[in-house]
Amino acid sequence: MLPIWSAAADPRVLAVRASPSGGRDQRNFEMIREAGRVVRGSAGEHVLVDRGGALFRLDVIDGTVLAGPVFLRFELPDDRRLEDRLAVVRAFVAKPAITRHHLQLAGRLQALHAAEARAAGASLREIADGLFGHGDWPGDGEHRKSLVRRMIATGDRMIRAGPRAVLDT
Amino acid sequence: MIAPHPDAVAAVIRRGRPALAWEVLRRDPAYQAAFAGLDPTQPEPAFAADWGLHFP
Repeated sequence: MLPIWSAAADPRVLAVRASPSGGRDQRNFEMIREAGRVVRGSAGEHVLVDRGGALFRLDVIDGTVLAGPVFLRFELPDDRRLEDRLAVVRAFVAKPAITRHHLQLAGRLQALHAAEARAAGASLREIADGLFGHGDWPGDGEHRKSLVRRMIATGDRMIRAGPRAVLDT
Repeated sequence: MIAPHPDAVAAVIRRGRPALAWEVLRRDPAYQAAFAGLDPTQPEPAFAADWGLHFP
């Protein structure tokens, strides 16, 4: 496993202070919702965040990111590395780009819910209304009904195949 | 609730396959039973190995 560089050595590592979130205008950071890892060091936590291959590293110089949602304050000394740090901060706070691939994955999550609802006894129409909102039933050419059936089949396949099939494909 | 929770959708969009795989795993009755049997105060290397997980 590779080490995580500290902010003292790498300008792309952001030094942050973490405090419990609470303010309405504050942006929350929740490590539990991120892919990555946290290494505890003598001077605080070293955090690696992987957002679809874009890696961000944080040195938590005050507080912890492991105790729920936090509000981050970035430490940005005005030195020759300031522009580098600002660029990383902008990338870190930017909304992640949503690709077609990610939307397809979200569609598979819907399929999972469709299969689960069907197994729990929901009708095809109830599932369609739950997933897509109310609409004509079964729709022109029964397209709405057919779509729900396909989603249930996809969800059932995913459940049978298990999580490793999702990771392997 | 039939529609996925918005947080789950956001997690899948943000984290991709690992988040979707987690949604599959947590619906697995065998996993649910194994997790329910864990002692939260004791590390369980066998559990982590069996399910391919690490807990912080």
